[in-house]
Amino acid sequence: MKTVCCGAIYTIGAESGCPNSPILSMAKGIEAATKGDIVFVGGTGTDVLPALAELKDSHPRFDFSRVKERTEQAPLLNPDRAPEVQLYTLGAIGYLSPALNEVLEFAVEGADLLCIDFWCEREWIRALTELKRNTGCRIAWHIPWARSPADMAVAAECADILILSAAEAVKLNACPSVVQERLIVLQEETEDAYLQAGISLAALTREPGL
Amino acid sequence: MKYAVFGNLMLDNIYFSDGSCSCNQLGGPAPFALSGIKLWTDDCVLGCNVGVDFDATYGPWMRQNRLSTEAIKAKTDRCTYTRLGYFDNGTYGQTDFCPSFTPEELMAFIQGRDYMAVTPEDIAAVVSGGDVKGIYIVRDCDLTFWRQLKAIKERDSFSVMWEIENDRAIPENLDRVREILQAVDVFSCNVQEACNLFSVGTEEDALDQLKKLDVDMIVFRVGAKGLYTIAKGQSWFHASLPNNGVVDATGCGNSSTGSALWGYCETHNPVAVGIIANIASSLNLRYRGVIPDILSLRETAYVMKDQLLAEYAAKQGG
Repeated sequence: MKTVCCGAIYTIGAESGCPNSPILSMAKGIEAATKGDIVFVGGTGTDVLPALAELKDSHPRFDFSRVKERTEQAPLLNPDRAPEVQLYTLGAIGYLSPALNEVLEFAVEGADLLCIDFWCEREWIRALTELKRNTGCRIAWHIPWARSPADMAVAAECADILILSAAEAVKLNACPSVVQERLIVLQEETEDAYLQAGISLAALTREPGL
Repeated sequence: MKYAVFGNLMLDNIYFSDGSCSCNQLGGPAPFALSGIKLWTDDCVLGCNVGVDFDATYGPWMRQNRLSTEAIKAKTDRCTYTRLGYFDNGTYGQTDFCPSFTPEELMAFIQGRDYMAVTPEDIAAVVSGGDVKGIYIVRDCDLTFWRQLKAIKERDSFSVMWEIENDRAIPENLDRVREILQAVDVFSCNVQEACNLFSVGTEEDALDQLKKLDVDMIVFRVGAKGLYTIAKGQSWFHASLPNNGVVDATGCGNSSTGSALWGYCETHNPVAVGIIANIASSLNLRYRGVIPDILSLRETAYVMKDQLLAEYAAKQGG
């Protein structure tokens, strides 16, 4: 099984250079559950490249060759920092997020599962819906935030599995059509919670009913 | 194309003290810089990432000015929207009469803006082939970006005009700026940015510090007074051109910097570059937002340039 993991690679916590963003943690879970290859698409900082090389040594199925070196330092999302600093860090994470064409380029090469860490964009939803139809690829989508319940509802229609924080999941209350079995709600946003989500989503995508 | 402009494009909602609002005005540094080049030549292209709504908002202006969209990529649903509050004197900033973003709007603005920032690959795709003479870029001080751009420049041989992002002109970045200038031909900043960068309090002190930088030319903008061009440790002051019809100062720095790139690549003469940059800001001032019909002003711009250069030569001769 081949999974394409799309999202920014950065650090959550106080120490820079130690990448542990949601896409990496979910990938670890997916790898543990599927024993398959994981290709990463996205951007990162020069300072975390040594850590990614080490990660590759311990996870030989991880392929970082398509990860783009975009900034001197990968963003450091530290919950102890002031809210305005956090906000600008989120902007920097945006700069490391892959473009839709990059995602599609690698996904159409024969991915069984596409795991995405990116916010809602209608253009993405349109393209990914078409991708699913054409290739049968499954989509697991961690949406860090959605502008509105309407955006979230459209994303829910497209994704096979949605991974949401408890705060974001509230936006789905207005969407009764979302099947709860396809939803993974994170009670806390820790590395382990994302790893467990990766394990769960890998199992869920094998469910024939999805 | 001989000239390429890279940077963010935005749509501005401008709020005035009388409570009125001018919505969806074309803005962002890149379109203003492009207008500054387009005043002089058709051989220019805008390279930026936009929303799917680009054509509905910017399309008429692009078509009216016969601007190519070949280097514009739609990456999101919406272009970046921002809000500016304008004071009665034509400057802008935080005001009581400009509504604040909600947290969701602020998040959308910041993430969208950074997501759409041009990457070295975006630039490489436009400049590959070696026909580009000069590029304009408004950018921060990230050395990874500049190292990659330097490699592209070495491959494709073009001049680089760098306008530093306002909030990155800080003393902590001074060493970075010096390193980045190795990849830059012309550096552009305003008086506030220079004072912040060098931790000095006056225009004169900032000018002294700028003269010491190792870069071929500098455009140092000093607001309504005009601008300096600096080369090889020397400076030339160019007073703003007389203008009775000032409407809006937004984008004057970007448009004059764009024009200065054209002037630099065509003349390499600091006096001509200053004159050419001043003409762009003088014309930009006459309109709310970006110049609506750039092509109609080209002849005027060339006449002004020839006249001002002749006046300068006469003064020197006298």
